[in-house]
Amino acid sequence: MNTRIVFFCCFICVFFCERLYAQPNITLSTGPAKDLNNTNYEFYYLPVAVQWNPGNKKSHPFFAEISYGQTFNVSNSGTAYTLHPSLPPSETLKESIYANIATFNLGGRIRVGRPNRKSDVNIILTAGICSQNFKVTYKNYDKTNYEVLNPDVNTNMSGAVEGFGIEYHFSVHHSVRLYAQTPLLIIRGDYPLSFRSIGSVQLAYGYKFYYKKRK
Amino acid sequence: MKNFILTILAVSAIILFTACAKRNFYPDDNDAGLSRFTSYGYNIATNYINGKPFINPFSALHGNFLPVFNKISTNSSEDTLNISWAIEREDTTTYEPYHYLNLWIPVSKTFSKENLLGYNGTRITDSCSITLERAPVSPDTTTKGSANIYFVKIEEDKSYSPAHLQISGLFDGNIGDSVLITKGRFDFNIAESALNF
Repeated sequence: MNTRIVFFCCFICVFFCERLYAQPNITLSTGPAKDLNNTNYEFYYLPVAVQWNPGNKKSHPFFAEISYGQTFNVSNSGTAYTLHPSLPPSETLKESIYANIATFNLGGRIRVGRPNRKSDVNIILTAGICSQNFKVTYKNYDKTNYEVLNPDVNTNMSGAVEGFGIEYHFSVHHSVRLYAQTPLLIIRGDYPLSFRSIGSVQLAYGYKFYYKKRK
Repeated sequence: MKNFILTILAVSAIILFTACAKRNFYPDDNDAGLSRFTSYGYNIATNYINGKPFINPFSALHGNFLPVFNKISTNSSEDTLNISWAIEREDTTTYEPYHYLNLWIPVSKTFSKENLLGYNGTRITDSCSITLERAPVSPDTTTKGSANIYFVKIEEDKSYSPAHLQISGLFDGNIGDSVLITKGRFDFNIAESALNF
């Protein structure tokens, strides 16, 4: 809980920090992300994000961002049992899990360095909502005769997330960032699954499209 | 005085809210009306009878109705283990005549809790019986049929005092040609002190 309070305070601090006088732009970014919240699985994915920076002289350095990504499949195994006398009593099934992750974030930047006129280094803080839709399939599952014990099921988890990162704009159009996003902070449902919500760290490259010249 | 009454009401509401038991019914996507096959000690049992889903009843105060494990002495060379629980339609909109489901397993005269634990992972497909009863029980409604039972997982849970048994398994059966019990699954967590053996 204390971590959340500190994070929230940092987010509020953005209001009082140095203003960034960037031109309004749309940034497209992508890069590999790895989940750090699951110990049983290693979820990797490649989210694509669109970030709107409305920045001008009168505004604070806030942005809105939507991102979407689908994890690569991870594998597990499940055991299914049958009463049918002519069939083997149990069968090990290969379980495949992937997740679709959509996030909407509002964020802010704090400039922490400016190596030269066309580049700067920022800390970014975000807060938003995230939907994580997990799909589970059991390969070669004979649903008529077998029952999987404690099955994983398709699950849609939604909730609040927070993020923290460092961003380097190394030219007018290009940037890279290292960004970490928390798992869902509140999750409904209590059925035990073998996986948890995804909290990721991402290394992303971004390209800015300026749509309006600064006045 | 008004504040006192409000406080009492608020405390009562909190107590009532926290005292409510949980159903622990997690619908199986593959078998409509049945709960998933679990081994978490949810005290839930579901099955189809002639294609209609049945479940053990639930009350907000006591939770899911518990099964009864009884060893019944007989005059023959074997005794009988009876596992019984109340049932009702999963959607309670329709009245059905069945109120109890009984599984009957022949056991030795010296059958004990350790023998029950020994059933872990055992599938019994040729010697069990099943009955469906009305309430109150009348002889003409307890015709025995044949059953299959698979004790997939039986474990002693000593985190409780007294210790509990977690028993999960599958069952099916038929009573004559007219009553077909299919896709049965149970997930029980019962106190060892409730056993009569």
